[in-house]
Amino acid sequence: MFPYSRRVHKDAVAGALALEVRDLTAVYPNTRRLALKGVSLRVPIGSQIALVGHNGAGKSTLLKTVAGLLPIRSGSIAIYGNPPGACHHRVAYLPQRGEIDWHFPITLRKLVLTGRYVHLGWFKRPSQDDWRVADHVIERLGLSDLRERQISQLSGGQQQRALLARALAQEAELLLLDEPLNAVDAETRQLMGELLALLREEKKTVITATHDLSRLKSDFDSALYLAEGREIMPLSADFTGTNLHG
Amino acid sequence: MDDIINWLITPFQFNFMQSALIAVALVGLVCASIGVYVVLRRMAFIGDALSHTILPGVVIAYLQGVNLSIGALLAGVCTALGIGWLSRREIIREDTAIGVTFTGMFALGVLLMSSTRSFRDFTHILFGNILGVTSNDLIFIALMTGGVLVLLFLFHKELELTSFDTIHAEMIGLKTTRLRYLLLLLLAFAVVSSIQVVGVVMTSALLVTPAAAASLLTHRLWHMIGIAIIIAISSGVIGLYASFYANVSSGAAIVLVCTGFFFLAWLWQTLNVRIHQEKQEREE
Repeated sequence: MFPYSRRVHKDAVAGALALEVRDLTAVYPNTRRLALKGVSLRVPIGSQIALVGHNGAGKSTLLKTVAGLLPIRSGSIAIYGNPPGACHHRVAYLPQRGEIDWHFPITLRKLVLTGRYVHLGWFKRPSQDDWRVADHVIERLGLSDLRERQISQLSGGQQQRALLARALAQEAELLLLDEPLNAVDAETRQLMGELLALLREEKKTVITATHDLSRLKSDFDSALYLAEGREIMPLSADFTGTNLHG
Repeated sequence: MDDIINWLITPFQFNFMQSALIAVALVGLVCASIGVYVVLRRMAFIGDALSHTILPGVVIAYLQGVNLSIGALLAGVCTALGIGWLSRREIIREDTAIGVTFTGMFALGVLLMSSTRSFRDFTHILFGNILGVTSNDLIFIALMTGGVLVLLFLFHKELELTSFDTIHAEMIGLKTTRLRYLLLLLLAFAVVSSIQVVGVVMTSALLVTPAAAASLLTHRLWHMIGIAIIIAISSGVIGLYASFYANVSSGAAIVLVCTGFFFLAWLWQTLNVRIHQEKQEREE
C-alpha cells in the first residue's frame, strides 16, 4: 500500500466535533484579496447544515479551505479533531459542476469509481469490491441505466448525482457540497432531499452551500448565513423565502 | 496476387527498411499512447514546443562530438522541467511563455547550425531520416518506448483522474503539479525518440494527429489509445512504402498519411452526426 499522501490515516479524536472552525482568515485563490475574515463555526457530528449567503460571500472559499484545497491564512480548522488534509478519506468535497472537464472520455461508472482511489493509493488497481461499492451507490442514486454513458452525455442533474455518488463511494464522514442544487431538475432536487435524509440516518455530517431557500426547513437541521466573509450567524426559520440574490 | 505480395515484400528485403519499420512501429506506439493525454489535456502546443527546443541541444551535442540522442534527451528534460516551472506561476500566460521560449530556442539552434560548415548534416534532425536508423538508434528508441509505456501504465489511474478533475485529485492527497511534471518528462522522452523518424519540425504531428483522429471515433480512453496506435503505426508503414516507391521524404510522407487518417475520421464523425440528426428529425 502506497498512500497518496504521507500523512497517515488518522483516527477521529474522541468527543471532537465534526468540524470546528476558529477565527479563520483565508484569501481568494491566486489573489491576496481576503475572502474570509475571522469566521468561526461549530458543526456537531451527524448534523445537516445549509450555508447560505450572496454570491461572492465566500461560501465556496470556506468549503474549499475546510477541504484543504486552499491554504489557511490564520485561525484554525479541526475536522473530527484533526487538521485539514490529515485524513483524506474522511472528507469529500463536491465541486461546482463547472470545475470538471465533462468531455473527458470516461463513463459515469468509472467517475464514481474514482471515489475509491483514496483507499487504493499508488499502483493498486480497483478490486471487485471497489466496483461493487460504486455500482451500489449508482443504483442508490437512480443512475444504473446510465452507468456506461460518457459523462458529458448526462444532464446537469445527473452529473450532480454522479458527483454525489462518488462522494458516497468514498465513504466519507464529512460531505461538503458546493451548490449541488444549482441549475438541476426537479427530480434531482427531490432525490437530493431524500438522500440528505438517508445520510442523516447514517450519522454523516453534511454542509451544503446553497441558494435555494425554499428547502431549508425540510432538508436541513439548521442554516448559517455567511455575510461577506465576515460573520456567520444562524438563520432563523423566518428568513426562509428571503431573496438572497437581490 | 503474387505481384501485390512481391510489391509489399520487396522493400523489406533491405536491412535499412527493416530497421525503419521497427523504428516506425516503436515511435508510433509511444507517440500515440502519450498523444492521447496530450490531446485530452490540451497540451498540443507544449508537444510542439518541446520538439523545437530540443534543436540547440542536438546541435551542441554534435559540436562537442557527443551522441546526438543524449543532447536531445538533456535538452528535452530541461525544457519539460522549465515549462512545468513557468506554468506553475501565473505571472505570464502559459501559451505566451511557451511561444517566446520555444521560438527563441529554435532560433538558437538554427544559429548554431549555421555557424558550422556542415549545415547539411542537420537536415535529418529537422526533417527526420528514418532510412538511416542504426542499430544503436533502435536500441535507444526501444528503451525510451519501453520506459514511457511502463510509466504510463503504472500511473494511468492518477494521470487519468488529474486530466479531468484536479480538485478531487488534490482532495485525496495527489500532487497534481508533480503528475504534470511526470507527463512532461514522458512527453520529452517520446519526442526525443520520434525525432529520428520525422524530425523536430513535424514531431508534434505524430503526437497530436493520431490521438485527435481517435478522439473523433470513440468516447472510451482505452479504445482511443488503441485506435491512435493503429493509426500512427499504419501511417508509418504506408509512409515507408511511399518513400520507397515514390522516392519522397519519409518523414513528410508519414505525417501526410496521418493527416489523411484524421480527415477520414473527421468525415466519418461528421456524416455520423448528420445521419443521426436526420433519423431523429424523421422520428419526430
